[in-house]
Amino acid sequence: MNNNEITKNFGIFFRDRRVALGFTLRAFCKRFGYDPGNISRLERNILTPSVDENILKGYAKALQIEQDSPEWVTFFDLAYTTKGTIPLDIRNNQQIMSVLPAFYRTARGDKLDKKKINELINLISK
Amino acid sequence: MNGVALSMDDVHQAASKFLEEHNPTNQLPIPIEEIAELKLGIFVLATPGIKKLIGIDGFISSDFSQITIDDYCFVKYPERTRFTIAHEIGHKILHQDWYSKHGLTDFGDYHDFFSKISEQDYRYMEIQAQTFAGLVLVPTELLKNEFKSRLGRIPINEDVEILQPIFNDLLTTFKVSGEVLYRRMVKEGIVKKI
Repeated sequence: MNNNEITKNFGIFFRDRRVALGFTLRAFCKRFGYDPGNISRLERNILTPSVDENILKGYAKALQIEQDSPEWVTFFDLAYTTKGTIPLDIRNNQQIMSVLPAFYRTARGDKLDKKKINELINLISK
Repeated sequence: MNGVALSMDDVHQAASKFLEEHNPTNQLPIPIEEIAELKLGIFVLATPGIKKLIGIDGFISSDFSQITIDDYCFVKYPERTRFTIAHEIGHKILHQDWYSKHGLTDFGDYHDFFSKISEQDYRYMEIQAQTFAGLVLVPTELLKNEFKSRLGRIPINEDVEILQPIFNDLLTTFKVSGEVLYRRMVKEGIVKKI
């Protein structure tokens, strides 16, 4: 397993667990006092998880992962194995393409100009 | 490239079908974030800067699996966020087939794709998604029922000022912005357009 796959799996693991518990992003962050932007970055695999034990334990508790269970071990393994890895700030074109907007909501329903589209691509590539 | 060939009647039918499938108990406010994330499996995420830098509230990805919302809007304006999510779901339901035929196939074509759609066609698709979102978040029957239960009747073309106390109540009931509620009331012939 390469570093990217490990990081990816942590984000997917986190999000799958949250959704399985019936938490929307808003409900999860509100219930446990997390910042939605940070949780989104973790789940998108563009922020490597903290290896601070208290922070990880907080996440694990919020995700109702029973201490010392196989899931607990997996969760901590995924977090620790990403330590020192480079966040996925540079994606390949195929990855970027899948997340580029098909449609976007502007105030007046207008199309974006080329400059704004380039800025958007830069923003979501990070 | 032609825009999608859908009538407003099609949009109304799509919104009704969506509500029958995903909110059969007529829960209010419509749990749109739960429907998006927990029922439709759409990845809703909050990202900084897209409103401030690009001027957009949110967008749906070209594989229709993710809805990205400006993180400031997500936290500070939940009503606006609910509308954006409903709007983007509208694109998924109304326009995904069209997009799969005409949309992006290669990263290099991205600018080309948007330049091929006319401003008018793009705006029409935006209006369709907007209409879908309004109908989903403020469903016709549920809106009329709220008036019936409060006034014992459904107002016809009244001045919005007269209905102001109820209007304020309904903002909480439907969890939408005043602009969205007012627009829906005008469309249903409940209040006069100012």
